[in-house]
Amino acid sequence: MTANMSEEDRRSALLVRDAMERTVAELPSSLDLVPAAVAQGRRRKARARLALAAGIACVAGAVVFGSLTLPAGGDTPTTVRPATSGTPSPHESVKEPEPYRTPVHVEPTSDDERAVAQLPPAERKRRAQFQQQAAVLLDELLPDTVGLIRPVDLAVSRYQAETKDGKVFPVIFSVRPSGDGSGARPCPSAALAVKGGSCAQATLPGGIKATSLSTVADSTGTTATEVHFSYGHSDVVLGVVPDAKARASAPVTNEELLAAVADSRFLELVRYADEHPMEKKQISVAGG
Amino acid sequence: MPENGRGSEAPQVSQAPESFEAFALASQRRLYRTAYLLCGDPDSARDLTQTTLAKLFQHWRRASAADHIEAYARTVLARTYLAERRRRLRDLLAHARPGPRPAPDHTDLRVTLMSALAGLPPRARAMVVLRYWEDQSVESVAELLKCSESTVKSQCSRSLAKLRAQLGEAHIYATGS
Repeated sequence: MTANMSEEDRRSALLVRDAMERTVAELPSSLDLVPAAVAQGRRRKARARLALAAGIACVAGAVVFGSLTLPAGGDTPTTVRPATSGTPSPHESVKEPEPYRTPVHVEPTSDDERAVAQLPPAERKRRAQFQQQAAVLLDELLPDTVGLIRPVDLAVSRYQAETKDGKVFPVIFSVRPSGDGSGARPCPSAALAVKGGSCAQATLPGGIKATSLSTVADSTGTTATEVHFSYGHSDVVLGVVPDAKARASAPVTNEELLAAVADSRFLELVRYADEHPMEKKQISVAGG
Repeated sequence: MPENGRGSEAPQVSQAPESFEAFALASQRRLYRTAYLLCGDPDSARDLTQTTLAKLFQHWRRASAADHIEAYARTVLARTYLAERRRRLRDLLAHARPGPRPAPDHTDLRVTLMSALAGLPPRARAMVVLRYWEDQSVESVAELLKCSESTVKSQCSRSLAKLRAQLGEAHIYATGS
């Protein structure tokens, strides 16, 4: 390591190396990242296959479309149309994701849902695209045990995850304007411990403090897990709610939720929602 | 000082291992330590190590066929770290929220080292860790980070001077010399 170095650099290198050895010696000796890495690796493989399949489908579609629409030559008059609308989309930063998740339809029952149903088509489309992108990303970031995540129409903050064995977990992803910086909550450790809950806190990129709470419902004994933090002028909540019918707890830990919200792609979605709000400025309805 | 300070703490897997699990079990602690020096905090180091192992799992056929699988893993780790830092930098620029920086006026060696390393740009930090912790040659570091050998030499020399200036007092305190 120290060959061909000046005497000063050699001494500095030895000093740095010694400090590094002392520093890492303080790290915990027990570590088992293999199961989580295997699970993450499997998801990466699945995504890569999906992307490849989507790419092949797009190319095949383009070839078929081109063969049907391109003129075969000759003097046949054709009309040249613009490739896209001249008006840019109001949400260019949120791109349509490749896999489409069929939304879960709900009949409007509350005033909020009726109001959403009456929104202009362009705004509804913008929200639907945001939800599509969020559903696909959450599917990637949350553990497989949560199941396939689909948006719920008429409620931009609501999603639904369904596992292969039929469990249904409501998922909340809310970016609600508030501006009072109350998104991150302190850990009520004593109260949580009594009820069997837990709490964890983390600092997200950009120095954002986030708090994740697992709380036990008194009636069913199942656990819900939610992470809260402030971003820009919004309060952000990402949560997984138990399947009340199956009496199944949310299959996600505080640490897994905190890892999900720390992902830069997730924060990019939050940034978009903060800059282009889709929820009302109120706090009383959780996750709504 | 031994040429490779990591030799006694983790088995070296120089031959292609039988399975990903065998390699990961043998290598995770060493990768975690390097990741810790790169990231500066245990949680980020854990994430970086896990992502590195996940990438190796994803491309295990190619990885296990490499001549030096450890070097392959080290390359994945360093490049994942740099890619992550680039993403974070974009986030920071987009949503800058100035916060208090840790005060450097203490003599705890670990905190001083981490503070000193944090003062280096990510690429320079990767060079220092690869060169002085992983014992990689200038040529290897240059190849891994896709830059010239002279860049590695000059960056390492500058970084060493900065680290020495900050570490000197803390190190004397820690060693009692």
